[in-house]
Order: sequence, then structure tokens, then C-alpha cells
Amino acid sequence: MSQSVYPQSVEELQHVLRTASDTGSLLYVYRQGKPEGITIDLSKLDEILEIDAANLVATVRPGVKLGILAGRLAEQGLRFLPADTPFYQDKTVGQLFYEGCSNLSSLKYGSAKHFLMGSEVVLPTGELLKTGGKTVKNVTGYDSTRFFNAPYTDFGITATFLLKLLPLPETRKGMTITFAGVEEMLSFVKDLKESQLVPAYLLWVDRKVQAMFQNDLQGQLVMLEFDGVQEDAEEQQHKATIICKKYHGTIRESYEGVGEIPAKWGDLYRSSDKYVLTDEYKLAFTRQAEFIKAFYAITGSSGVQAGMFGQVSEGKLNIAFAAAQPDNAFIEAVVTAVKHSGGISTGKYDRLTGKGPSGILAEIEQRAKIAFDPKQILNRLMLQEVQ
Amino acid sequence: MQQQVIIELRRLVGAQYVMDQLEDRICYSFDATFRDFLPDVVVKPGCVAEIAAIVKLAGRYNVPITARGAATGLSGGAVPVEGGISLVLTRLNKIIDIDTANRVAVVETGVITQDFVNAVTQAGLFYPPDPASAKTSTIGGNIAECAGGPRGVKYGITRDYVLGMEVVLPDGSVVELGNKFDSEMAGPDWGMLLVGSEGTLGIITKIYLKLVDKPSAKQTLLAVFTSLDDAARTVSEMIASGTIPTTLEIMDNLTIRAVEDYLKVGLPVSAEAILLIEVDGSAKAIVKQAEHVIKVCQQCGATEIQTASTPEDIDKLWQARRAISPACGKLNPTKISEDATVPRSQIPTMVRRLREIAQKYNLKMVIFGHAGDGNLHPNILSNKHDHEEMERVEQAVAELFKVALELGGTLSGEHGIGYMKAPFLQWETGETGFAVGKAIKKVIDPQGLLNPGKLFNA
Amino acid sequence: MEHKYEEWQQQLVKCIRCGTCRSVCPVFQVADNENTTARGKVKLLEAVSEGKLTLTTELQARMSKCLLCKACAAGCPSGVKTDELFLSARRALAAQNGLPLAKKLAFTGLTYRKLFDLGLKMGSLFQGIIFKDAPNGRGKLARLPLPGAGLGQRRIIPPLATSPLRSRLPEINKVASPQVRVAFYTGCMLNYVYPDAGEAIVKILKAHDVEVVIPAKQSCCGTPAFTSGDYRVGRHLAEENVKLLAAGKYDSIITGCASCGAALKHEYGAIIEDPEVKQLWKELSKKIKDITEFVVSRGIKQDLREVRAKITYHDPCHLVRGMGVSKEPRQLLQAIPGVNYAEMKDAAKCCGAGGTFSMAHYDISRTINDWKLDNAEATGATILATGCSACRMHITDGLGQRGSNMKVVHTAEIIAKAYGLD
Repeated sequence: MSQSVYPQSVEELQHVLRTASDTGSLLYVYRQGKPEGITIDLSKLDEILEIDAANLVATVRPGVKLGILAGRLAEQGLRFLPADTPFYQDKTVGQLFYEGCSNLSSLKYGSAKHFLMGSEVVLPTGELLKTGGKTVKNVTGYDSTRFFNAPYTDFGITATFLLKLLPLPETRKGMTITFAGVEEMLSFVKDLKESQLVPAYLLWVDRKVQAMFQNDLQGQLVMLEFDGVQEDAEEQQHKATIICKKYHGTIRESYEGVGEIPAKWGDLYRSSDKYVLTDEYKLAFTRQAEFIKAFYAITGSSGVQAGMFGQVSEGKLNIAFAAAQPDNAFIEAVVTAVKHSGGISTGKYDRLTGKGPSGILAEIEQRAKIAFDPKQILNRLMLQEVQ
Repeated sequence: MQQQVIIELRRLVGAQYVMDQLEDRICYSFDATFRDFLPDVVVKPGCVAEIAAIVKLAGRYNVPITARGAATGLSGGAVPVEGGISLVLTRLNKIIDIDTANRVAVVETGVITQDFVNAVTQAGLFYPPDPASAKTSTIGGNIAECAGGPRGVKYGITRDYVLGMEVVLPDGSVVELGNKFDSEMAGPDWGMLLVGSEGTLGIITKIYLKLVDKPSAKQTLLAVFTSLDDAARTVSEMIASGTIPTTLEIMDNLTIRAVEDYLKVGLPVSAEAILLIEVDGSAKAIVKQAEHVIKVCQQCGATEIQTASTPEDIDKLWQARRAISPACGKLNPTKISEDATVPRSQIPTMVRRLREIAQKYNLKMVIFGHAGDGNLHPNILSNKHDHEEMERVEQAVAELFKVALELGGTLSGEHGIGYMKAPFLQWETGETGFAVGKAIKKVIDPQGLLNPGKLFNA
Repeated sequence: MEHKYEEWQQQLVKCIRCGTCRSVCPVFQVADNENTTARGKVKLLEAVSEGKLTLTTELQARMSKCLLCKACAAGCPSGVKTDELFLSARRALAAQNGLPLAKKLAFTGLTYRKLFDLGLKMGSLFQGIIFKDAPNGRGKLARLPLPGAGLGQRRIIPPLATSPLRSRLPEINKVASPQVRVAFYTGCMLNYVYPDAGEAIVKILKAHDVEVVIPAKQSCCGTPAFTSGDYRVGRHLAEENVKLLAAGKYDSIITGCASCGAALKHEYGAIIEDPEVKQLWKELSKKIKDITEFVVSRGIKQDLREVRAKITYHDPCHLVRGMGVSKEPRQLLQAIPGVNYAEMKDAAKCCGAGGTFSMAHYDISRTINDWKLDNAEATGATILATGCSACRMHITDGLGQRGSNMKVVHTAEIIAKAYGLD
């Protein structure tokens, strides 16, 4: 039976790690670990310490839920882009960075990692490492902010995050559209890109996933939003509507502010009774069509119930399984198809399943692990014993 | 250095690309900082395989390697402090691909940044980072130092555009870091670690860069203030109240006078400060942004505001900003340029403290810079042959760093640490941070082969 | 520190090593080596002045690998006078190490004015022995490679004129009602190689009611000598020319070759040592005018004939940066009816000749020239006008080698045509 601890301050967290380093106890954070280990639950370390509007920086603890953060920031006319979405409401800041969750608005606003300006990391020794700061530009030393807050990287536990803020847009204008098939959907997205219409976010959910979540709108679903000044957002929405008609899309909803249909998809990125694999596969936009075809060929031939969704404008495609556990053979076939289409795997799945990376970078990672966590107390997994 | 190394280098790249005569080594002993250190040999490899072989050779003989692009850096990154091999990367100068459909460019390390920017513009897209050295510096150098530029406040810096790269590690392995799609991989972020690593962790040979859409319109404004404080306040007010300009540059009175003396374009020499502000986006968006900018400037005490929307008028306003360097060069031969950066809200205080420092040490200092992101450039105008004054300059610079850190800022917003700021590095990182930096270096470069004498190993 | 190093120090101390010179130096753009950049050469001279390096032949070789195009000086944010510095360095190096025998002989030959003149007149008679005609009447090709003279077998050079300019025209060319009296300093190339251009200049001047004296005793301006570092010959020629021109008490001294003009107007200041002659020069230098500069100052004529052609213009380094003249040639060309003027990209970038540079470093010269020709051809022009004979020679060579139909003329030849004087 594994224990859990709920540190409520940084000092407590430091104490936990220091003690574990002394005794060699195993600690697990953000991950399911060995039964003899201690799980650190950061949900009580959840204050929003400061919202500095003049410098557009928010200082928060890892347990803060993105939905709550978004609400508090909105009161001051501000937002933290990765949290400014209906789809990540229940994720914590800590999870966002640890799991390497994609910023759903990355097409227009850039990767989540670039919204992290600094951090305070509790090292396995219990020492506190300060990285970055409140300045937009900082080239002092190495980029420890991103290095120590990288996905599935276990050199320490971050206790404070300095988040980059932006002002809220004047307005948001969104649409939800269904297309007859994947081809029409992709043509629509391509056309948007070529017309230099950059939505704040654009999400595709295929029919299989829609069915899994009992939300099947009988078509390839695309949810998108434009944000900015009134006239621009209107113009972009108008232009997108014309392009949509070109590919015989059906507009299910057209709104200003908050959409009803997107609100119904809050569960999409949350693993519950279905195995959802996000942030694993990356492809060039222009090669998605061939991969998507291959994917459905694999589902067809294997009989596995699985579907796709994601930021299809950027080649960031995710997989959802109807089952609670993924099918390894299926995953292998998908990886092959991804590679065949010139894409890559980020290595997240391998880390989740305890396989870990290989090659020279893996060796360097092991050396770094030994340097920062000599007793390897943090997130030591079943098959991942370091020599 | 053993003669055997030189013989083997000649065999690896061809004798014409190996220089060991004093007359040539002198030409590679410097960058844009003030100290020179002779390399033992200068090598110009033509491809990644040659670079990997050179690194392995250097490892065998324990010879340090300092990578060099165009050596325009302001922190000493390309200077071979401990001699050894100066590895010149300019032969790797191809723009391999500009993929407009996928918004990704693939470029070799030795491509001159402006050449790359021009090619991207030709292709109808936009690569925003605009360091002042762009006409001369190489893209590899920009990445190794994480170059900035005036557009940082809205568009971010070099790091925000790096998706992935090909790197030669200190053991001679050639690896790909990050990816060519979105830079997001699981596990340690090696790609980001290499950005700004100043040649101490690996030799960057090829980079995958993100491209964005060009803004369709832009407008430039010049706001005049009778108080430097008002100008400084305007900077944070503007951003806090919702408009993020593309660039937001400040020039103090001394800077204005120097530039007017040099250019004679009718700058307001009695003004205590001017702000050069640019907004970009769609035609409608910039109208709103410009209105807001004007409102904030007026609210904060601007006495005059000029606007420009034609390319000629916009260029005229920027002429003054570009003329700062030559104008200052005319005043004093030695210009010590610093880039200590503070949070935006601290600019008024920083400016005040800088003035106090200049007075305390009896030095001529001009203050200008990228106020929008807190990246001021206090420049001390001096003469390197006046040893007594240079001592005061050193003390002033140290105090300047202390103040920046006190105000929650950083030693360097753009130029890097190199050897120039290495003595002060621990002031910012603290003991723990410094030990972590050293540990990272030790893990990746256990032999300490790459660019010794810089950063955490100075 | 020796005296000359103190002089150097004044410039050296200004260099901030920013590297802007890298972005404008044509030689660097070909060679990609820091030993060709201005800041690299500055560093070498700094090392010499600090006693870390002596005036070696290796140093001399690197210092000679420079066009002296002045692009670095013009673009330097700190105002380092690199062109003056490098000339001074070549002088010091030549004094230390001497010059190659061929150069020494050639330069000394310049000081024997009458002998030099006779030699070139004879040369025009016998040039057929060494040179054959290039195809399409473009010029001459060496029958055998002459590496010592920088003549490979592909390089096209112009023939020596059978009748030099100063033999064709009287020393004094009078007009009915002279407004001013000028001396026309022809220089060697206009005299011996492109006399037609020289004649055009005299005709234009006369059309402006100018009395033109072509002093018979003028010597070579000395540029080939002093740019190589031979200040003994350079000084001799400079002082002779200045004394000659000053004695004539002319209103202006007209030049048609940019190199000569820049030498007379500026470079002589660092070469002449005799204080009295120096004083004469100071007064004289204010009177030096390029033909285009002079014509514009007199006022372009109104009743111009039509010249139907698409014309582009190349700025010789010595004209645009050496004499500050770039607006006037364009004003003149654009004033001519029928002329479709097309500005080429990088018109003010060096053509790659660099005088004697192209002899020692022909390959680099050729590459730089090819860029110039690409830009010229991109305009679609059929005529390229320029105001320096060395540029003309080098550009003609390049156009010939690529079989281009573009013609190269002196700006004055187009003006003369428009004046109806041809």
C-alpha cells in the first residue's frame, strides 16, 4: 500500500526530499510508482502567490488548477495562454509542464514552454534552485528553466512557477463545424493557412473519438476560435465561414465569447476510463493526410477501438482508445506509420510504460540523473533501474 | 600544442583550411569584446563529419576548441581564452530549406542572419529575431548566444523560434535535439539547453527554425518627454494596460544629443527622453494599438508625438536609433556596452540608479535600449588607454550589476556571460544555481573541451 | 613606440571590432577569412604597434590582399580611417621589405616621364607580338600566360591606342569667349588606352566655354606606386604634378579618371612631405573636380540631343567614396532625352579591379567583378557608363569573357553624344 504526503509549503517539500535522500526512500510525483514508494501529492500546494500586471508575470504553486488560474487572471484582464482554453480546466500548472501538455493555442501563440519565465525547483538534496526570473529576456547561464521543467524529467520537483501573461483579447469569435470527411476537413485547414487566417486555436475530433465520448455530431468535428480586436476577429470569422462553405462544412455553432460545444469537450484531454495518448506524435502539416489514412487502416485491420483528435493545423495528433489500457502492438504499428510519414515520437509513451530512451542522449540523461539525484529517489520506475 | 595535431587537422580538412601562422592567428584572436587570446591553430571545416572528426581529435589530445561564427559577440564567446583550436564554422553556409507550407526553415550554422531573414521574407514569411548584428552575425552564433533584438517585447527571442538542431557533442557524436515540428519532446529539453549555451556544451551545426506570418501593416511613433521618469513609466503603463508594441525603444538626453550631433536630423535635443514605438498587425489592429499608445504617452506626460506609416518615414525614425553606436563612437573611442536587464516595472528606478552610478564614478554614460522588455543598454563612453578611468569603469559596471539583480533583474538580457560577466555569474545564480550549472557542464563535457574559460568554467 | 605607430594609434584605438566591415568587404565575401577584413588588418597593425608582430613579408602579403575600395571606412560606425591606415601600413612594409623587382622597375619607370611616354608609344606599335585580338573586337588576349603581369590567357585587356590623347590634342585648347580656364589632368589610362573618352571630355569642356590646358609635362598620378607602398616614387610624382598644376594658376583641375582625381584631391595629402609643396597642394585640392561634377556645377545644357539607350551606371570606388561624387553622373545621364536610366543593385560596390590588386589576385578580382556584371545585366541595360578607366578595363574584360553585348563607356562619352559633339 503506497503512502501519500500532501506538502503545504515549500519548506515541507524540501524536507520530504531531503529526508528521502538521506534514507534512500522512493518518491513519486505526477506518476504512478512502486508500491513501496511515497507519492507526493501537490494538490495542497496551490496558492496563486502574485499576479504582477505591470510585468505580466504570475507566480504560482504547482497545485493551482488552470481553470481557477484563468478565472483569477481574467479578473485583471489577463490570461496565461495554456490555461486560456476550455479543455485543460482541471489540469494543474505542475501537470501542464510535467506532462508536456501542448499549449492548445500554440499555432498563434507558441509553445507552452515559452510561457515559463522562471521557477524554483526543490532538488533531491532539499536545496532550492532558482531559475529564470521576471525579465522577458534572460540569457544568464544555461536555460535551467526549461531544462528542469521538461516533460517527464526527474531532476527535481518544481515548487514555484513564474508564468508569462498576456492581456485578454478584446473579443473571441468561434465556430464549430462538421465536415463530411477527413479530406474536406484537411482542405479547410489548409485553406485557412494559405489565407493567413490564424485561429487562436483549432481542434479536430474524429468520428471515433466523438463516439467514444458520446458526442457524435455525425461528421469530422472542427472547433476553432479567432481572437483579437473586434474588427479583426469578425473579419477572420467571416472569411473562415466562406472557406468552410467551400468544403461543404456544416456550421453547428457560431459564437462570440464562450462556445457551448467546446465546453462539452472538457474531458477530452483527461484520462479517465479511456486511454488517451497526447503529445506523442508530431508530423509535418502536409503529411498528415497519409498518416491519417494509415491510422485508420491499422484500426480497421486490428479491430482496436481507437480514434484521433488534436491540433491538426500543426501536425500534433493525439490518440484515444476506448479501452482503459493501450494496445502495445497497435502503438508499434502507429509509430511505424508515423515514421513512414516523416514524423516522430516524442518518447512520452516509452517513458510512461517504463521503457525509457536509448542512445547517446539517454546516456547523458543518466549521467545528469546521477549528478542531481545520486540516490535516484525521484520517480524510479519498474524497469528503469540505472546502472 | 603538438605539431601532430596540426598535421592531422591538415589531413582532415585540407591544408588550405588550417592556419597556424601568427599573422592569421592574430586575426582570429578576438571578437567584439576588448580582450584578445591567440588560438594555437585556426580550422575551417566544410561539413559536419569534419567537425565531428576534429572534436574527436581534440579529445584525444586534450586540446580545447572554441567555436566561431562571425565573432560579433559582446561577451567573449568566440575568443579562445585557453588557446587551442579556433573552429570557424562559416563554410557551413547553406540555407537548406524554407518550407512555407509547414512554416519551418532548415539552415546551416554559418549562414549570415540577414541573408536568412531576406530569404524568408522573399518566401513570404517572417523570422522575427532582429539582433543589431544581423548583417554580419551567423545564425549559429545567434543560437549559441540566444540573441535578442528590439522585437523581443512582442515576438520573443531566438530561443522561441528554435525547434531543433543538429549538434556535435564533446565526444564527437552527432545528434539531433528537439524536433523539426514544435520543439516539444519528452525528457530533458536538450535543444533549449543548447540555446544560449555559448559553445560550452556542443557545436551547433544545423538548426530547424520556426517561421511565422508577416504582419500586414505597421506604424512607428516617436514620443518626446521632458522627464526620463515619465518615459520610463510610459513603458510599463503601456504594456500593463493591454498594448504590446512590436518594439519600444528608449533614448536618454545624452544619447539624443550624441545622435543629433552625428546625424543632424532635427531630434529634440532638449528632450529628457524619447520613446520609439512600433506597432504591427492588421491595418485595423494597428489603428487601435496606435490610438492606445498615444493615449498612454499623453497620460504619462509626452509633450509631442510624431507618427509615421510610409516606409520612408518609418525608416527616418529608425535612422536615429541605428545611429546611436556610430554617434557614441564619435564621442569616445571605447564604448563599454552593458545589457543588464530588469523587470519592466523597475525601469524608472533602474534609470535613476544608473544616473547615480555615472555620477558617483564620474563617467560619461548614455542610456538607451529595449525598454519594452526591460533590456536597457547603459553605455559607458571611455578610453581604454586611460587606465585610471578604466578602473572606475570596472567598479561602475560591478555596481550596475548589483543594482539590476537587486531589482529582480538579470546580468544579461542579450549578450551572454562569456568571460566578460563570468566573475559576476554567481551573484545571480547563487551557490546552488552555480553548482547546478557546473554540474550540467560536467555531465555533457566531462573533459572540459569546449570553450573553456567561459560561463561556469571561467 | 615609433612615430608612425603613434599615427596609427589614433585610428586603431577607435576600432570596436564590431565586424560591420565583414558585411561590406568584397574580398572577405570571396575569401571568407578574417585576415582580409578591415578589423583583422587593424588587429594586425595593433599587434605591430604593441611589438607583438614585426613587419614581416607574411604581413605584407595579407595587407596587399585588399582592394582599397574604402567600403569599410565608409561603413565603419566608429569612423576608423581604414583606407589611410592600410596605405600607411603598405608604406611601412615596403620600406621594410621592399617590393617585387618588376614593380620596382615599373614604378621607377614612371618617374622618367619622357622615357615612359616613349615606351608606351612603342608598346602600342609592338603589342601585337605579345597580344592577339579577343573575339568580337573586345580587346586583346595574351598569347602566352604572363603571370608576373597578372595576365592569364583568359583575361582581356584593352589595346594601347596608336595615337595617345596628348599627341592628338594641342596643349592649349582655346574657345571664343572663355568663362574659365582649367587644366585637364588626363592620367595614363585616358592618355594611352582610352583617348576617345579624353577627347570627349575636352569637347564637353569647350562646349561650356572653358579654355582647356592639357599640361604636357604631367606625370602619372602615382597611384599604382603609392598604393603598393612605394612612397619614394609616389612622393616624387605627387610633388612634380602639384608644382606643375599649381604653377598654371588654373580655375579648376579637371579629372576624368576617378583614381587620378582621388589621388590629387586626397591621397597626396599623406604622401607629400615638402611643406611648401604641401601648402600648394592644400590650395590645389579644392580645385580638383571630376568632369561630371564640373559640368553639373556649370549647369547642364538644355538643348540636348536624344540618345536612345538603356543605360546603367557603375560608381568607381575612387569617385563615390574617394571624391564624394555619385549624384552628378546620374543627374547627367537622367537629363538626356531618350535615355532609359536603370540603377543597378550595389552600384557603389567595387568592380573588383583595385588597380594592381587584379594582377596579383586575379581570381578574387574576377569573382567580385562577376557579381558586378550579374547586377549590371539584371538591369537589362545595353550600355554601362562609368568614370574610371581601371573599372572600365576590368568590366570590359568580364563582359568579354561571358560573351555579353553590353558596351562600357566613359560617362563623358554619353554626354558628348547628347551635346552633339561626337
